Amino acid sequence: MKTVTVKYCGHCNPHLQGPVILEQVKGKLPHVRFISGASEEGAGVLLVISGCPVDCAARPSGFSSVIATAGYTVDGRNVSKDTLVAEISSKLQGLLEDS
Amino acid sequence: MKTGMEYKDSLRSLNTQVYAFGKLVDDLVDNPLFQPHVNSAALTYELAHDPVAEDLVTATSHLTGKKINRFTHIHQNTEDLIKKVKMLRMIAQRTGSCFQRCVGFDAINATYSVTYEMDQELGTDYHQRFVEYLKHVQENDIMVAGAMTDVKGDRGLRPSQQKDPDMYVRVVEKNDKGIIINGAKAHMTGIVNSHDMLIMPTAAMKEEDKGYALACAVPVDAPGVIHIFGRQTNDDRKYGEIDQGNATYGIVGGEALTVLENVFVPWEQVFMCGEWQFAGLLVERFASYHRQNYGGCKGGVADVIIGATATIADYNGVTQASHIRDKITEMIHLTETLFSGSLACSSEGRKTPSGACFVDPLLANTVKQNVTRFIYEISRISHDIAGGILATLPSEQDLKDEKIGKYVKKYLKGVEGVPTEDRIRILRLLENMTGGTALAESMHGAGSPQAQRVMILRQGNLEHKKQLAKDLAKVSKKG
Repeated sequence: MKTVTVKYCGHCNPHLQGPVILEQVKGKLPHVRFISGASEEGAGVLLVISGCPVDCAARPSGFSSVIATAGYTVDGRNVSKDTLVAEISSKLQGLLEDS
Repeated sequence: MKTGMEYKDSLRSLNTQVYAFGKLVDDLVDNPLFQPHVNSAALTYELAHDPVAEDLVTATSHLTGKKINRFTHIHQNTEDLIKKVKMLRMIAQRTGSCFQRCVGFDAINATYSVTYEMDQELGTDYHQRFVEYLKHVQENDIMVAGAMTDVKGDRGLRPSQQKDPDMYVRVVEKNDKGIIINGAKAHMTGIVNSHDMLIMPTAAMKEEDKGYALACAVPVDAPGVIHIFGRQTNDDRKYGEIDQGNATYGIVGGEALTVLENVFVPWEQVFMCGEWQFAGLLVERFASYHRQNYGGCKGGVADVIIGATATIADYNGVTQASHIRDKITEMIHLTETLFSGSLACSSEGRKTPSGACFVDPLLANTVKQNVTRFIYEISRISHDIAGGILATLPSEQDLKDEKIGKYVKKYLKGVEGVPTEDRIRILRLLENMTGGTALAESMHGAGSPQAQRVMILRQGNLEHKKQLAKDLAKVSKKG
């Protein structure tokens, strides 16, 4: 089973609830294991979920690939509320297949 | 790092002497009078283990390289200062109340940098002692209460001029093992559920006041330490639930008067003892760090007030009225203005000689000055929108009474589909958060308004502004 490490920003004034988004992503990628709480060095794929576009979550080092969700943006590109989960899931799927 | 439960258990092992309503308290952690304050502080521990929050609530110690609770961290850069503000807002959104731990956080940061500069100038060795103490704080995740405000007696007299010499905490004896201190500290936020207190002088000192130029760490349960818990508005409601408004976390930090009667402090925990020249600097550093906080924590509290106000507008069926939307907009504007000030003073932070990062004091004092006004205005608007029912609600007992409860439920109902009890719960939350002790905390916490105005004028670069005007007006150099 492939693993994705999840890092949150802290959610001081979030436009979205990161854990809720993650649950929806998990629903789309049932074959992937998600672990959270990483602040040290890691490896593989890192999914950053920031609550707003400021995207201030610290990035732990060592990961080969990073997807950054910050409010309703994915890797700096605006996405709609309706397509956010699909966008993250699709990007993750692509990275995991490549890894 | 301790969990919330480990923190609560650690309090149980202390022998803290706390008095409330004339009686010695023997069950602090489980007593309804203190429980909300303990719960609030416990959340600062618990969130360090929460994956969503840990990016803000933890840091890496510059002393040991270990992951530590941010409340025990020395700010290394402006990013640390910004994360502090964001952390405070995030926690306040969850508690809706003061969670107390920032005072000690600010005290350790102020003492760290000032002891370094003091040693550089005077050849003392306080900084290394403080570093050793700080390692203990970080390693054991100690909750430190910042202890600055002296009781002050006659405010027109200096410490050494007071008729009663104990009006400011002072050294009464020195020996080869340590010092003995006397006096009292007022408005001690979170002291009854802390582990240690970090005593600092309350004001700049002159040479004749050097016996009062004192900084030291003391366990809250040290022999000779007595805490007298302060009353709060509606504190008898703590023995119920709904009427409290925020039964889990309370309304304020839980303040006390702390008496120090011949308390022994070993030299290892003394960080200033007579160096009157540095008392003012320590006060300024602490006050500026502490004033930095208020756009964060009060911003988070205001978020909850806005949420409660908007919800009661929903329950009253007036959400679409244009004046209601405009007033909610004003509340958000005021809140984000406070948050902006806290972020600004953090972004403009700078390194001190010790390496620790310090906020911009002019901007920090400005944000706290705004808090003394804006929280009142936010609360005023919330009262406007909530309506007079905020002040005339029947009690929880009446709501639940078998005979008259049906009348309360029938006649205090708002829009269809919302239970009357829910409407009452939101109103009680709003009532408790926007009046009495909670409101006064915004005025005087981190110093009264005049204290900020003194620093604003001192830091305000007025001569530069005059020169700008003179240059444009082409006023002669003599003018």
